Amino acid sequence: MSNDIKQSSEAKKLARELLEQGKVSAVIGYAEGTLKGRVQTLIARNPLDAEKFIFNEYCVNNLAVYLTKSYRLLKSDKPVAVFLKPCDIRTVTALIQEHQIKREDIFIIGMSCQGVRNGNGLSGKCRACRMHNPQYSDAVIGEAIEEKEPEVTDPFARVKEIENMSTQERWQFWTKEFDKCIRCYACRQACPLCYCEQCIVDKTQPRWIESSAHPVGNMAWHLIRAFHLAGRCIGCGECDRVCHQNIPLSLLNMKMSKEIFDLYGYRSGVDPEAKPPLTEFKMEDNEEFIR
Amino acid sequence: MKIYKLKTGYTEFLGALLQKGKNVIAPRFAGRTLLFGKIDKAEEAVLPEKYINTVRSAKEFMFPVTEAVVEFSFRNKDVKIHDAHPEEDEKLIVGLRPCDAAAFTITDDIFNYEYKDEFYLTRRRNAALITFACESIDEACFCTSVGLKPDSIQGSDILFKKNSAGTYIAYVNSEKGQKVIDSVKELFEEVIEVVEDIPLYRDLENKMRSPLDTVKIKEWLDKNFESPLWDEYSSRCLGCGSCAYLCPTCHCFDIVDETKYSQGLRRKNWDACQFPLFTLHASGHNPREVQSKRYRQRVMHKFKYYSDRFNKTLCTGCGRCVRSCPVNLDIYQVVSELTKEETA
Repeated sequence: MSNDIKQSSEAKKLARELLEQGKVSAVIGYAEGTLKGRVQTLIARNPLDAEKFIFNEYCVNNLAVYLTKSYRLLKSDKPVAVFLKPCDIRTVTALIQEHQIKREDIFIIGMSCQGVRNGNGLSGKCRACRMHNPQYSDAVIGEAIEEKEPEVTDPFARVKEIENMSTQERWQFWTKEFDKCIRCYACRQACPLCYCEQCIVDKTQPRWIESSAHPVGNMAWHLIRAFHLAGRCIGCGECDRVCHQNIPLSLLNMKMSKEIFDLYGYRSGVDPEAKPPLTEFKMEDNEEFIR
Repeated sequence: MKIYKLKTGYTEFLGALLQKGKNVIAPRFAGRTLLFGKIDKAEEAVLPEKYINTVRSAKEFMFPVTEAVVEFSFRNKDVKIHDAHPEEDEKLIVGLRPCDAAAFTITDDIFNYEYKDEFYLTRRRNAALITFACESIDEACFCTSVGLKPDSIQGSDILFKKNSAGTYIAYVNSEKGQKVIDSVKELFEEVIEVVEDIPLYRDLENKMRSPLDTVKIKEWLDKNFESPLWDEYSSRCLGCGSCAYLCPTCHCFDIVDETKYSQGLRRKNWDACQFPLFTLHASGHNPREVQSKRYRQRVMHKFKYYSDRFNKTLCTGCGRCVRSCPVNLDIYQVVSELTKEETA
């Protein structure tokens, strides 16, 4: 039996059992999509629906987004189960650290993962991936995978290339990219850590960011979004994936992650005990950058 | 309606139009993204056989992503207000697909309804739509569900089809189209004899997802405003505007004032019914406070409300919403499944 089929049938079985035994109010997972290479979200509330669950190399979406976006799902006396790849589990960790969800409200179905595809090739995030086996899970689906050196050893390689550009080149690079933005906010909506009930871009009194898709508005929007995710982004790459204009948005977030790591040695979503640096103050905090 | 044979290829055709000083808009790459844009050299344009469709539709050339509608300035109590006006230059939009050309015949009704939208209508008057019939489709395409075909002429000023010898045949559909042909007459030869029915287009038509029953869909929607299924389907929706922004027929907009020091612009920007802010009242009340109500609005507007008002479906089956949805919430699948349910 191929890995996909085995993992899918284990997932179906577990989802069915959880729902039958009333252990969870819903199971959020993947189902067959309508296009080649695409999967759909399935939110199953009864055991019969569990038959539609699958897990394969196209399960690129980070389903943790539903933990904040469909917040009402969690307003039940029972936990919600969700299929999470090892990298996606970092989202739950980050959301717990930020007091958005409680660990006991989530039943983590950890999917061991060999890497997933986005369109034709291996997803960018998987090229540098070092986590194939789920941590902190309530149940693990799939066999243990041997951790090996990834294809891309430095996840920040592209960020460094951009850092090495001259200011002028960098400005041109981003101006050209942001020029394509039409402000559909798919980046924000697909981001599991963009959970504000009211986004700053939607505030009108005063208006902090111009909502028009012109150079000023677009630049302000993307830079402020990157700042708001500094030290919080867990690098799931959903912003890149959902941007139909192909703006490499995760580069901005990666840059911020790199800064936070260099300054505080902190990586979001890795250690549930760690305190996010931007919510904590220590006397010995690095402050060389405050001038 | 006259029919011509194009004696050259696509690039030479564009080259000749540019040579005559025409303002040519055609699909070209902006980085990795295929978008319509003004071209300066014919070679910039991507050949019609190389793409299924552009990422964004051509609607932005009538209804831009953002545009100024009023200019204002003030000094103390002295306020000056001027109307902004759309540009008047002629545009040739070349290389669009039949679904995108047909979209304008649908949105014409709303922009020409009680309020005549000067911005849309002026640009529409000044634009010629030069369509190239589809040479390939993908699994997201469903134009046959809404009365179109890979070689529909609806809305086009000229429709180009390839005959089995690989020559482009131009079907002129309007005065505007005839003027374009006349401006580069040396490239064309009038065809008098009956033109063959080209099997490629029928093949594509047959390969498409099986047609939806829009009458049945409307009947279901007429009865099921309160169906629990809205909640069921919309729970997957992330509430982004990808579907609406890429849709050639979605036409909702927001009006904002943007000011710098003592002057500013009132702008008209694309907006989408999937955003909570779209219906948020000044009082704080929001009649569509949850995603299920917003998703229902999208489906209702496409397959019921527009039909009630204009007797047209607000969809051309271009498939952009299907391709772009981050979670593959596929409107074709949703409406096909909904109508199977008897929850009236």
